[in-house]
Amino acid sequence: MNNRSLIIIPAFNEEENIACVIKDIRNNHPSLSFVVINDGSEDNTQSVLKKNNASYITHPINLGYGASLKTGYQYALKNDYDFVIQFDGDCQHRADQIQKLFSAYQEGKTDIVIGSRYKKDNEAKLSIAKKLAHKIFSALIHTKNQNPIKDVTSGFQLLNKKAYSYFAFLEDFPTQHPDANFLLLSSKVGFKLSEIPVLMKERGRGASMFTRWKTFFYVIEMIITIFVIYLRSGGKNQ
Amino acid sequence: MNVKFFLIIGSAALLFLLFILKLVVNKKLSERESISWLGIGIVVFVFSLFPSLLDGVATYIGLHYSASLYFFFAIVFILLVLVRNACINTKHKKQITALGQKIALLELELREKNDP
Repeated sequence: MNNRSLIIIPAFNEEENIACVIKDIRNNHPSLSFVVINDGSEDNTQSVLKKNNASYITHPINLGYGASLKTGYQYALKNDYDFVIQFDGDCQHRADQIQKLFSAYQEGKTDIVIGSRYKKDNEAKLSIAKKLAHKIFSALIHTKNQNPIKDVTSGFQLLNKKAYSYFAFLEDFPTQHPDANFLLLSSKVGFKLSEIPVLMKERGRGASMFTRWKTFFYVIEMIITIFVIYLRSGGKNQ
Repeated sequence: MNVKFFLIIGSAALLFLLFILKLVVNKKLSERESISWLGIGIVVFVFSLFPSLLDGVATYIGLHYSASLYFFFAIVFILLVLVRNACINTKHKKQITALGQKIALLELELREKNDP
């Protein structure tokens, strides 16, 4: 494991979960740095972060999940980290699985390693609707990978410096949901991707940001975004 | 209504869809904002392909002249877009206020540090 790595944790209204995320990381990787990007939370997320003596950056207003990651990339670049690990602030991701991302990076030397929920004994069960959405998006994005990426909405990822520094100031970086569109964009600009199975948990407490209507518009928006990426690139991989 | 009418409406809808797509590709319009415009373009295009569908809907809601359904939908859509834009405007005003306050407090903090 590379100690010049930064764990980026985007958090919006996660007062009930963020303490458990910090504890998990500190218990499993006491030497790894982490930064919580408090994305304009309207609850007590910031107080919890202060209380836990955590390193954090607060957006004055809610800018979106993607914008939080971008802030994290910029912070990582400023502090010259070799890798970033994206880690959700809702207790779904497990710090003991970070090592798997590094091992996969060492083996495959890809620029981006995705932690996939497609594993038999996973605690986080994917709904049929989510699996269907994954299948559609996975079919829509043609990456250079031999096998198509299955878990196209996994936020548990490792990016090397080449990849994260490219996205740190990219105007086109999706500000809301960098999922299948992000993977396609990465592949189009020439980054190598790999996917490995990891264990994840169910979301901790509190409500998910995806309501039924938001999910509907998310799917439509994602299809348009994927289509537009193809149009912009003229269908070619760079 | 004659075929010419639906041909004109269909062509206009298609051109409109291409125009919206061009705006998105050229980064003048975000993917999220394009959803409603693409949606209305597709609906108009589908009606122009199947004129009987337009007649059916018009009869169902009690309209004698089916072409006026286009105007009805256009007015409803424009009203919805206006209300949505007003909501976004309100949200942006609140965000600008929050940003202004944050900058003012940071500026004060900076001044106090430099000139205790």
